[in-house]
Amino acid sequence: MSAAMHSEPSCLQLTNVSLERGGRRVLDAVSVDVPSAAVTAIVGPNGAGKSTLLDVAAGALTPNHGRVFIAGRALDRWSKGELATKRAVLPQSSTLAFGFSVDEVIRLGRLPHLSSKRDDDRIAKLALARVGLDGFGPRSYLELSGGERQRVQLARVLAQIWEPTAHRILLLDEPTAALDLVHQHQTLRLARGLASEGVAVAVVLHDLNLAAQYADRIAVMDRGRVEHVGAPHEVLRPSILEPIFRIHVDVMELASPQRRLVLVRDPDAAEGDHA
Amino acid sequence: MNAIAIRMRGELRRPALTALVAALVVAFAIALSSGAASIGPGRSLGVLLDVIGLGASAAQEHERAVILFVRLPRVLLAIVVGAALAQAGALMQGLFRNPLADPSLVGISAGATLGAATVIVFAGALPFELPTIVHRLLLPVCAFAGAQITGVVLHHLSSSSGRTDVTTMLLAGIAINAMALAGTGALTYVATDEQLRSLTFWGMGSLGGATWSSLAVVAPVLVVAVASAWGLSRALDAMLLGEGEAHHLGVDVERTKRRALLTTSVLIGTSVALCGMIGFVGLLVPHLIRLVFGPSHRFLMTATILVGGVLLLIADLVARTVAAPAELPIGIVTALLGAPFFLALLKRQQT
Repeated sequence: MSAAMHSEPSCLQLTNVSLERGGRRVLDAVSVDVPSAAVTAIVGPNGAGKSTLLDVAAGALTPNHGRVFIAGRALDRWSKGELATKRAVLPQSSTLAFGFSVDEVIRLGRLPHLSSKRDDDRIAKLALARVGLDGFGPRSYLELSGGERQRVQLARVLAQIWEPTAHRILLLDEPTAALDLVHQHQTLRLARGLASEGVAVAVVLHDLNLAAQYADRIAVMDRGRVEHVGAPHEVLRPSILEPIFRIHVDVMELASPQRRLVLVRDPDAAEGDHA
Repeated sequence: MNAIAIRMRGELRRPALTALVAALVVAFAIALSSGAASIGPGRSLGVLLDVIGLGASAAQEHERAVILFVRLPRVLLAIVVGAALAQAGALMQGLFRNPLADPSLVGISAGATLGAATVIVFAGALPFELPTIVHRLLLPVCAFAGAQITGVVLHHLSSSSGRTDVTTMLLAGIAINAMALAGTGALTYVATDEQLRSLTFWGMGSLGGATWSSLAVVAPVLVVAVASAWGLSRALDAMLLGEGEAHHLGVDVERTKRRALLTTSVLIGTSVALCGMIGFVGLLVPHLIRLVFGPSHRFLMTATILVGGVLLLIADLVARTVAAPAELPIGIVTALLGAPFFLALLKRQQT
């Protein structure tokens, strides 16, 4: 993507963001754009700062240096309420321990909006259908499985940014962690669908192949820095992945032109090849 | 709880509120016409109708005095304080995201009691007499301060980076409770006989001190606090998801927490200043309501007011009638009701 394409600022921009925690630099001069109508995947080894980056973008952590912009406006110039109608965040895991019904949980996503109860109910129903939990509305949240709970939380954040307004942002922190194969793909297809409706999606992922399949752009993080940003076929190369993940990989080109498949090589077998 | 039960509970909320208002009215009528002097319900309510100009009363002058200056303020105080205690419990449980958080268990009521006891003992030790109005206000203000200090300390000890550790909260609460009770105990050594009687009264709680003038001081304060608690319901719903989630939903988490703690302290401080320590209402009432109607705070906050009022009204009725003409401290009655319930709740949390 050339600079000329960005006549207007990216939906979500982090510029030169640094954050220290307990004397350790967790984010080190990170600059990254999360544009509208695209899925940006954030990958990297454990402790690279992926979740911290998402927390800064979500406003849950305030950086020591650098700034966060949403639609070109600095984060601190937005009111909390206004921001909550634009930006929804799905944390890694949820700790809700009270017996809300599924409907009630999803309607909490409508909290920032001044819409009527009838609209909220309608949106909650649609959001639930969209995560494949039709008819779960009157069930107790506490009786659901871990994966079902995660999808209910996803429906909640969908309901939060349901109306198609400009500059919507969805931040997902490892949304597939608690999900089986079918629902991992369902969730990321959903993220893609939202991106095609104009939402700026940023998603932390561990599985490089999920990132390869669903992301428009991949940001590779290592030790608090964003080392590479680009389209999957640009970033998913052994020369980039091997030093960061400290593994040997084969990257296969699939039939469709820019699809990639990353295979981790067995270290012993790798030795054998070189011998 | 199955889907049908959950669907039912949504539809039952409105009729339940109507039923609770009816229960409050019935309990009010019974409490007003029960007591050491036997004045039947017809004559008791007749006095009320007479006062507001709707029909003449058959009651005699002394009966009229008993109703208007003894029972009525007491009954009203029971309703207001019951509502305040239950509301404070609901607020604390929302704040700590745990149904075991009750002001009387985690030291906040004890902190308020220590504040009140300090005033009782040291105001008497002053070389000059405090004006009555100052004395009357000093007590609730110091009880409030005691509640606020213990509440803030408890919150700082048990919450870190948005998560509340329940074990820490309960253990810290026990320690704070013990310290506040020890402080109050130490004060009993320097207290005069008369002050000692006052302190004993504070320890177990009683509504016996109800007068129109005390009611006039606290009722407005409690009404404002109850309204403030009610106004927090949406934010508290979001907080149940987690503090991070609430933040992402646009809730000012820090402000909500400050306001919830402050409101709790006002509710508890004022209640303790008037009636002493009355335990378990804040635990019992919100939990019962959640059990039947779910955790949504908007309903919870409204229903706690009504159920709290009814419960304390009945508890006080029991306290002043079972051993009549003597009176049991109301704290004994609520503890007998509440402690087994708390144990059952602990057992349920384990599973």
